[in-house]
Amino acid sequence: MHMADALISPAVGLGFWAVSGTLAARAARKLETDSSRAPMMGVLGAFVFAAQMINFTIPGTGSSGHLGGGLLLSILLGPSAALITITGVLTIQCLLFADGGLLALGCNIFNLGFYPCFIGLPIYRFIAGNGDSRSRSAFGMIAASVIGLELGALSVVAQTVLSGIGDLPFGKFILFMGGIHLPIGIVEGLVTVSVVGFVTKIRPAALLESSASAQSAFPAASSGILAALLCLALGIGGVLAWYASEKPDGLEWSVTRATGREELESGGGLAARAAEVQEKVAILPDYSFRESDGESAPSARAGTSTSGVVGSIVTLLCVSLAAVGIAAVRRGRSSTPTSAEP
Amino acid sequence: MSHHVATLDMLGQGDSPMHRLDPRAKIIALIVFIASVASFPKYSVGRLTPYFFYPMLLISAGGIPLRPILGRIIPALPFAIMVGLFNPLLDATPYQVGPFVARAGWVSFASILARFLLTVGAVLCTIAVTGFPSMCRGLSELGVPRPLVMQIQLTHRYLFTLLSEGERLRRARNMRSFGRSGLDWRTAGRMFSVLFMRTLDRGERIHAAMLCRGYNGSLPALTRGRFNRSDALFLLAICVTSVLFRLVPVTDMVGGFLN
Repeated sequence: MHMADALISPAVGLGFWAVSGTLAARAARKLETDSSRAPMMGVLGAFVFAAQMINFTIPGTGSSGHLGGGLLLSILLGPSAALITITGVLTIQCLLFADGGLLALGCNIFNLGFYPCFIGLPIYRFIAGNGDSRSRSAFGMIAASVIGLELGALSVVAQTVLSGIGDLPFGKFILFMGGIHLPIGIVEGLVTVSVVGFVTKIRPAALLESSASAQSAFPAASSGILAALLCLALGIGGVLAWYASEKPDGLEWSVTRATGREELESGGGLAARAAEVQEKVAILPDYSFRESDGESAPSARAGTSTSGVVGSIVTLLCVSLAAVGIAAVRRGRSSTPTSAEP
Repeated sequence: MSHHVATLDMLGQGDSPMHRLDPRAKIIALIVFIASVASFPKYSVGRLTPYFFYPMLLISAGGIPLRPILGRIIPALPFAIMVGLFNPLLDATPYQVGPFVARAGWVSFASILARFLLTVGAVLCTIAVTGFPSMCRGLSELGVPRPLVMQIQLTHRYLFTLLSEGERLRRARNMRSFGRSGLDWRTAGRMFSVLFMRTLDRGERIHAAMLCRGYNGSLPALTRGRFNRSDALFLLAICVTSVLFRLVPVTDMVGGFLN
């Protein structure tokens, strides 16, 4: 459930970048005092990749899932270290694996890092209490895993709908995503229980040490700041998305404001001639949308002119030819001995 | 799987005009480029075509082979297709495409695919002409907090070791699983536990080894970047063209000129 750049609008993307960037920077500042943890956390980031290679079947669905790792790491390392680890993992997935976009990186850190580390973990701690009862802490982990994952899925839906590029209706999309992630959440919770149980049995020191530092990493006061940040994110996203959908679009709207014109005139004659061509060539005139007949306006969308289509194809050809040209020149130059190069 | 990533990673060690640019210039150019592409309205397809210049420039001037790039793009396609494919089903309003009338959903679907190719292509090409270590240097020079950059650097450093360990574990498990037995979460949970503890040990060994070699909490960069005139020119050129293509309907002008 990595968000892709193809489905996101800049307003949503940059809004979540700001929020996730702030969260990651805060977590980073907390960890800066303890440089001895850096190598360990680096290796644990690589551990998440390795763990994601090992898939397991999700009972009842016939499909297989893999570990998200956010909740497991935050229980074992504390929320700040877990958030940084997940941020590193997501950044590398985006840059090297084409998994999740760069503009969408903020969204992904929020969906897959913030929820398990800063919502899931407190839920687990609340249910588990002092950790004496094994069944309570197991239930806590499953609940935290399900809630964290469902919130992430909800976020993916909200971000997609706010961006307005995919057409999925909010209600159905949410039922679909929520339904898919429920069994995954339960199984991930069970896996987390098994790993945490095993690690505490074999190496209790590893857990004790990390949970001691984890207590200090999540003081109660910071939850207020986090709640405020969450509201801010939703607010920014909502307001900007409203502009993006209500106004022609964010950028065009600001251009209109700046220039006082609806669209930058591209040398009036050209546009007029293009419109003329469109009038002539239109096969189904019923479907040509003119601003003047207002009745059909609600469902009608402005189309692309023929010259736009022709121009796009020509542009694509030109770009490809230029690329082939540059590559040919480069190859020619590298085969002849280069003396001019510094 | 890790094969393509490793090749993509190694391409960064090459030498070309694109490789020689300062990583900071390439990172900022990439962000401006992606933001410009993403800012187009839902039904833009044609107007996105000029943007192919940037990945193609990186590929051609950087001398990158296409295979490792495509080898990463294609496996990532299904998600964009899965979400995008709902558009043609749900959005049936007619939409004029030149002389034809199409379902608007198909137009927005095409737009999603074009966006996907452009954004993912640009990211992968940038990595291929920069290399991961330089990318991290650029990030820290741009002011990304040090623990964060170090986390990315160190994760990347042990990534391939642990990925192949994960692959070995999975293969061993699959060979011992007949039918669907053994693929359940109980087995996986035990495997994660073992892997986790081995990773903790490895982390401790690595830390000790680093301390032996004088690690004091920071990873020094061997080269310091200098942001010179050609970097500034490159950055300016990419930013100006990205924004220009967004504001001016270039394709309409080209088509109008031809008509």
